[in-house]
Parts: sequence; structure tokens; C-alpha cells
Amino acid sequence: MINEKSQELMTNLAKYLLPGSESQPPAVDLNISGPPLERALAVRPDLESVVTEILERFKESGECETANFVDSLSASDLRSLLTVLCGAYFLLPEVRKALGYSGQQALTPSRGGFGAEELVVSQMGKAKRYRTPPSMESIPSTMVDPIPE
Amino acid sequence: MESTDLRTEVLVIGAGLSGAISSQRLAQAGVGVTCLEQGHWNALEAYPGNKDDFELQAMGPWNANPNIRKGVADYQILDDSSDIKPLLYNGVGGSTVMFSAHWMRFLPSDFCSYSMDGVGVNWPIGYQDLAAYYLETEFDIGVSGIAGDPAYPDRPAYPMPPLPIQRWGERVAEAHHRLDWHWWPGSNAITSQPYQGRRPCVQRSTCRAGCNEGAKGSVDQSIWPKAIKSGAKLMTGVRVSRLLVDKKGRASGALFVDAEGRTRQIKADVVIMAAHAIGTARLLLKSTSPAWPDGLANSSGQIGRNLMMHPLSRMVGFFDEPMGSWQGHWGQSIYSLEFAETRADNDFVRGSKWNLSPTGGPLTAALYPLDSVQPMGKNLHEHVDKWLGRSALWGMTGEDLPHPNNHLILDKDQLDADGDGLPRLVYKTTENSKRMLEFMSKRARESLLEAGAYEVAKQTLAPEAGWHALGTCRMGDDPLNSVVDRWNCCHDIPNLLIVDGSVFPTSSCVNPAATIAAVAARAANHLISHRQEH
Repeated sequence: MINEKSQELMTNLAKYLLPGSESQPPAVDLNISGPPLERALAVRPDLESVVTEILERFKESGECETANFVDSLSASDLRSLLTVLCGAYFLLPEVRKALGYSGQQALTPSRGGFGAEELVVSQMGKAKRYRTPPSMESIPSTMVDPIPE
Repeated sequence: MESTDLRTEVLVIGAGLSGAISSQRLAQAGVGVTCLEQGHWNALEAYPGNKDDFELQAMGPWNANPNIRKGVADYQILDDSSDIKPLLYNGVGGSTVMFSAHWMRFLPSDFCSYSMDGVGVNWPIGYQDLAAYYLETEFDIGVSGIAGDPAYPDRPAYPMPPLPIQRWGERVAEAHHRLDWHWWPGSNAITSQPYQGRRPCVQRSTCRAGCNEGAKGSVDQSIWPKAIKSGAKLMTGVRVSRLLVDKKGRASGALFVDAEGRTRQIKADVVIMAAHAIGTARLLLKSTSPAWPDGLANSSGQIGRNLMMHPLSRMVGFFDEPMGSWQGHWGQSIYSLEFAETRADNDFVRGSKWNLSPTGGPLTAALYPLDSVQPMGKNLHEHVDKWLGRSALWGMTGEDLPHPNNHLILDKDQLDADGDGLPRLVYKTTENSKRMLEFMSKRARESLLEAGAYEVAKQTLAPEAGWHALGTCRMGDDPLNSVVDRWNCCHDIPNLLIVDGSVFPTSSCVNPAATIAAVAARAANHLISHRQEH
């Protein structure tokens, strides 16, 4: 799992990647590199080695300007890093409350129609738009491959 | 150790959509049928949709890409030579466990693109040959929708009324009404009311990683219980390694590795391949012998050829109005076939089906792969604010024309557990598809702006969206350039049938599940009425 030094490195990256906004709290205020990160990695253990390696490179860079380091990441590495970091962040109740997001909820099925019924009736009145093929008997089963490479 | 201890009248390989439909019909007709499935059953509670970490799980252990998911039943598919990555599921229910359940009939012109547009190839069967089977399987699966769509021939009512199209669907429907563009409430293999003992959809919007309610018509819920009740046998956790042929050159069964790791045989009078366009072609290519050095039933050389993957573009519209668009069926809210048919003034042939969807939760918002740069920092927070609950998404699927150079082969160097080459996809998006998707992106932008979106964002080609692998064992009347005949029997080995999407000569632009089901049902009925010939 992520050790103390790695947590510190992740905190520095989180300050840059999830600094917070008017509607969402800063990730570092929520101890993102502790239990939240552990939980995300428990769901995505396949990303742990990638993230560990990214943090190692960050450390070797002397924790250079974070923006420069993040810019140097490949698209794949950046996605892995953001998956665990954002995955941890958006699981937190404080963040969900701030966003007004209560998760994917089971709703009571509507019994009041499907919506836009009058427009559907209008569509029904339109002319048929599908193309009628010639009778199948007259169609040769010809093989052509006309799309050039 | 090998032992010959199993026998069945009909052996079905693969317990997904086409395997389930075939098994159900055969069992109900009193035919002895055994299905081998490399994966397992899932309990509804196992799906992550009702867990708070759903989004994170859907990107990892419940990812539809087997190379990311790496489940116990998954095999690696080499996709670095393919513009589009394959999505599928190995288990009882097959890919219907994770599909979005869009249930669309092909259009009449889809069966004769060569005659009508001079491209692709004609099917040896047409819409009229499948119409009755479309209807029967809609009731078997449980489809919600409304008849009367002018884009289709007349049809009877659906088993259930449509699901709610939601606020974003209403806005886009109103926009298309003003533009005089086609739209229609989505037809989905999702229950809108209690149906055959299944619960109705609760609009949780987690369809893509299994349905906790059993409302989605994945065939583990909709078909297999009926098939088993009728006498079909389903063996799970067993991996078929090759097909067997007798001295007369007829299919005689399969060699498989059971759940305990033992190599076993099962003998059969008839063998039905229903293992997905990738799995079926792979297994036939693996089943070489002195008589079949290039793969079983492959005298035409067509097995693995003409792989079609349905290139997909996406357009997201951002709205001022909070619409709760992380909920809703996923699933299509509405669809449009405005640009589905060939038009003389376009610089491409054939067309695209559009489907409008919800847009997921905050993690989906943060990481959605758009053409624009991945947002970070303040931009990421702002992007999530803009997206979450206030967006709608058009997916535009383009008809993919068959090309022999788009194909599946067995790799020479990277081997599977049997010592055979892993399947490798070699697939390039054609120029026709690129022009088509560019056109569709422009039109989808117009659609969403007319609906009131203040901004849109696009993904020109979604490489991670290869749900619809089709065409690797195509159907035709000529044994020289097709693998199966119009009744799904291999030209080379008539008691070997292929009933999955691999037999599609062309791909249409609409989702293939309904046509896979109808074709499989038609083949099963024909087999039942002609079984003495096999």
C-alpha cells in the first residue's frame, strides 16, 4: 500500500489536480492521500503499481514544479493517476454533499407517461421514411469491398 | 486426462444472447441441448450499481473491456492493431450482462446495401424473413417501446410502453420537432413495468455494469431460466479449446477444460457456435487439422475477415437547467434515424443511428474522454459542475462497411492456455466512416444547440466503444465467399451452425442485439423442423 512518503507526494499532486473551487472543497482538506486513497486503490488494485511508479518518478524529479511534472506524464499515466485520485475524492460524503450528488439512486418508476407524447403523435403522422428494398429474389448476392484503405 | 463421458443432441458453445435464444427454442421443442459457457452466473447483488463506488468499479473490475477487467473467464484480445477496442462479457448472459440494452430492428435497406447503394454486400435474407422473429424475441426478452415510428415498416405493439424519456429527452425531442428531424422514444430491452416476474426499471442508470433489479433483459434473467426449465443443460466454468470432427467430416462435439482443470470431450449430433464474433472466429481458427489447416469450415478463407466494429462519435450538450441527468436508463432515452439512410448530397454512403443518453456521475464527468484536453485543477472542478446533472449525450453509431483487411487472426507469438495464438484484431476505420462521423458531429451539435445547450463538446471517434464486433463468419449463398448459408449452417460442415453476430454480412448503423436474437431464433426454428437432415 501507499507509504507515508508516497502519501506526502500524493498530497502535493492533489493540491494541484484538485485544488477546490467555490462548489467543491480542496482534496487536501479531506485527507485525500489517507483512507480515501486506500479505498480507491482497493477497488482498483490494478492501478497501484502504476501510481506507485508515478510517485517514485515525482520523488526523483525532486518534486519539481508540479505542473511541469504532470505535463510530462503520458496520457495513460495521467488517466491512471486521476482515476484513483478523483475516484477517492468523489466518493467522499463532503464532496457529494457539496455537489448535490447522492449517488445512483433507485427511483420510483413513473406511471404518468413517458413524456413528449404529443410530439410522438406528430411524428406518427409523418410520411414513412425508410427505403423499400427491391424484392429479395431480384437481388444478386454479390461480394464487393469498395472501401479503399 | 481425457474422458469421453458426455453426449448431447445439440451442443451450444456460449451462453450469451444467441446461445440462450437457441437453447431455449431447442429445449422447448424437446431437443436435448447442452450449452458450454466459460464464465459463470452473477447474482444481481454482485453488480456494483447499488454501491457508492459504482463509477470506480465500472472503470475497473466491471469494465466492459476484457483486457482491463481481466476476469477469471476472460481471454486476452490483442487490440494494439485496432482503432477500436473490443468490449464484451464472458459469463452467463454474455455481453447482454453489460450492454446498454438498446433494442433496435435493422432497417429494410440494411439487408441489401449493395443493391441499393452499391456498397457492402447483400444478405441472403431480408427484413421480411426476420419480422416474425423480431417480434417473438421482443416478447421473450421483454422490450419497452412504442410502435408507429415512421422510420420503420408497420409493426405490432411492443410488450411494454416506453421508459420515461426524461427532461433532456424532451428538450431534444422538441428541438427535432422544430428542425423537422426524426426522433423517437427509445426502444430498450428494459422493463417499464413488472414483466414475467421481473421488476421494472428504477432508473439508476447503471445498466452498463449489470442491473441490480433484473429489469434489463440480459439473457441470464430473461431467457436462461425458461430454457433451463424446459430442459436445457448449462455447464459453466468450462472452456472449449477446440471443436471435433468425425471421420465423415461432420462436427461431432468439442474438447473442453472443465472447472476442475480436466480436459474432457462432449459428443453431439449438431454443434452451434454462439461465442461472439471474436470468440467464434477464434475457436474455428484454433480448430485446425490436416483436413482443415486454415481453421475448421474455412475453405472460403473468410473466417476472421470483414470484421466490423461500429465506429462511434459522441457529442455532449451542456444546459443551464438542472435535469438530474446522472439518473435514467442507460439505455437510450430517445433515438434519431434522421441520417440513417444514404443521401445523395453526402460525401459518404450509408448512415448513422443516434441515441440520447444520461451522462453519469462526477467521476464520469471528470474523466470522460472528449477531444479536448483532460481538465485538471480548477478546470476539472468547473467541468464537473458544468456536466453533473446538466448535460445530455448523443452517441452516433456509423454503419461500418465490410472490408477483408479488417480482420481477426491468431497471433503467432503470443499464445493462450492451449498453446494457440491469442486473437489479434487488425482494424482500421475507413475513410467513409471518418467522413460520416465528421458529418454526424456537425449535425449533433446543431441538434443540441437547438435544444438549448449553451455549449457542446465532442469525441470524434470513441476507441473504447467496440461493443459491436460483427462479421467474421459471414452469411451468404456462395460457399466461395461466405462461411454459413442463409440458415446459419456452415457451407463446409452442415451440422455446424454459427448463430452469433459473426454471420452478419453488413452491420447496419443500429444496435445489433435485436437482429442477433432474431437470426438465432430463425436458425433454431429451422434446425428444429429439419433436424432429421442433420
